[in-house]
Amino acid sequence: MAPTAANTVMGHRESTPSSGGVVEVDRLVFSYPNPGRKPSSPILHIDSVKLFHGERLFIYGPSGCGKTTLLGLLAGVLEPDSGMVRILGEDLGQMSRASRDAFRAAHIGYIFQMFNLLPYLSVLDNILLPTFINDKRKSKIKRSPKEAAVALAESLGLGDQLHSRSSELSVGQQQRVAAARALIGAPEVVIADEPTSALDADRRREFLDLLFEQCRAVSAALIFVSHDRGLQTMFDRSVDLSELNRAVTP
Amino acid sequence: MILRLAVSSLHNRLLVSALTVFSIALSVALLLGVEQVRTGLRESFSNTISGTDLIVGTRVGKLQLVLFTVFGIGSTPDNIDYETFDRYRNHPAVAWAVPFSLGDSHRGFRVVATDATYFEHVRHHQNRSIQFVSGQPPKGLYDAVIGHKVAEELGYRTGTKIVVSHGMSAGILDHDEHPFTITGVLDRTATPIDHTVYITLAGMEAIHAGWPANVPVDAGNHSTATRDVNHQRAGETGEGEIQIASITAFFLGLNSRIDTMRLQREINSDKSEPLLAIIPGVALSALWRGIDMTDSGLKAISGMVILVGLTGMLVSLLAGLQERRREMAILRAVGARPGIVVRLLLLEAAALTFCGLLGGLCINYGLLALGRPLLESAFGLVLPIRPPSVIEWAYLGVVWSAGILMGLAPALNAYRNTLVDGLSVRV
Repeated sequence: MAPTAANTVMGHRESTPSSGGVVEVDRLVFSYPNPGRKPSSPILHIDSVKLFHGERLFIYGPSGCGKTTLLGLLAGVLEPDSGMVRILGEDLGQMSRASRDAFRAAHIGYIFQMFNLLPYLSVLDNILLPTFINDKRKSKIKRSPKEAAVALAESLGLGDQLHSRSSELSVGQQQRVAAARALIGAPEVVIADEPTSALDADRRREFLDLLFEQCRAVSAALIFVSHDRGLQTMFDRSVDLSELNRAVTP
Repeated sequence: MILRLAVSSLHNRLLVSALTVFSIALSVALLLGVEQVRTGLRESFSNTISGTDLIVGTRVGKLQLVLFTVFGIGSTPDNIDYETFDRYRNHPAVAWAVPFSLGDSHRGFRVVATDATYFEHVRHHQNRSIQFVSGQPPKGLYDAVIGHKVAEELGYRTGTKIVVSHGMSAGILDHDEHPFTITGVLDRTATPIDHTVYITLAGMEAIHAGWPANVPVDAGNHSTATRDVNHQRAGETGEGEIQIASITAFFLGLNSRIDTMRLQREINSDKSEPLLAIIPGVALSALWRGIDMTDSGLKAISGMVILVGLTGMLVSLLAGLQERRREMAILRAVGARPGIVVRLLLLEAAALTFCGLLGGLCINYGLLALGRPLLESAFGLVLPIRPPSVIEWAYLGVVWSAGILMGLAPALNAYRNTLVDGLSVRV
């Protein structure tokens, strides 16, 4: 299942190590530095997760089982107590905080549950935000970033809203802008944190179809977290975080 | 890029940003205003007399000499021999000399006896000369010229007849047998000149001419006429017959300022008569230092005003921060380093303070332009409109730096938040 058609097309990409995973998690332990709790009570303990090129992974988990924490670790915003997160073969733990930020900017697109957009920027500028922050992301775009953003917006059905302020959009439109922002500059990994939870069933389906289509177009691997099990059939693979996370004591 | 983010973000919170800017602007305007009043006070004070190089009087204290010659406060018991004055008037270093005598008054206003050179040479406020609203300098024996305030308060015009009293209170010893006629009214100077009645030296001699030498000298303290043979027919004396025996003090203007110190020494060590010469600028600033408390009081007010303005900004920045944690998380998610978040907030603080400074300057100069005439007429305070002084620029610089420093608090707060929040925002 893993090597999709897109993957072969994108064979010229940066080489990945022999294990072949885009994302690899190995014996990951994390606890929040909370003075109220005992330091020895991790909220996340995951032995192994692996994601291949262009693969779509569904992570199911009820609220409070550490979904967002896991995504924070994968994105390199949080630092694990022990264990390892490897993206594109590079160990995030070995990087400095600044280079982790730069690495995230260059290789990871992130979609929040809601309120994804900077309300004071136009739709276009919101989509372009990663290219403002990171030059690598910008350099991966063959055309001008603006053209790429317009093309992306059009394929996500946002052609008419490019210059609207983000605050004028519906929730569904906002999530599509967020998807466009996550996908601009073709990052290898897209992480989505329950992006459809605020959408009704029809919109949810429509959004996922568009997201998949665009991920396929840039052959990005997708990690999609949700508490809505109904979606898991649409993915290549799914895991239950509450089973995966050994730290959870229900 | 960050600049663009900061600008858009501020624009998005336009009302709050504008209010913050406005509060800073008000503080800055007030700070500048207080500073301008402070320097204005000081300048009005030291501009009370200008263009005069030396003030010469009898050996009283320096302070006393300044007070009674420039501000019309107090008096001196001794007089200077007119011959001594004449000697210095003809001194090679001296360009002009203005003699004057004090001691009389008119309804609480001081009477100064002098000659036409006074109106020609005495200056105030950076070399502004004394202007006549109407009339001309006193020429005849019983001519008088009045200052602006005298005319205003007593309703006098040219032609009005007035009676001069001996000493500073009317009714005790009035020279009512010799009324004076007002021949001129002076324009406003915002100095003690406005509160003065000017007559001629000869006029002053004339009204005292018939008196026994010892009485008026003891009762008051002004020049006395030498009563030679010509003065037997007092009251009918013509100007030509009166000889001026002594004066209270005189002003000197020199050909070259370089000679000031030398001539001052020469006068102070005059063997023939005990004299005291002072440089007005030096004496005035010494006097100003004496009332330094006003100065530091105003400075303290400035400081507090700015503190209030900046605290307002800090509050609004910190308050805004809570609702902007989401924004910070988005920036972090697209790979912005925490440093960028910090810079964004610092930039906002800098921009807000900068706009506040500009606004403050506008408000300040606007109010200054509007309020200038009022200040001048109500308080005699002349505030010049000019570009900010070095110290005002320094204040603006300090406010700006302080504003950025204030921005550091929310910025560091945001930095901490971004590290703790990660990508989830618990709001």
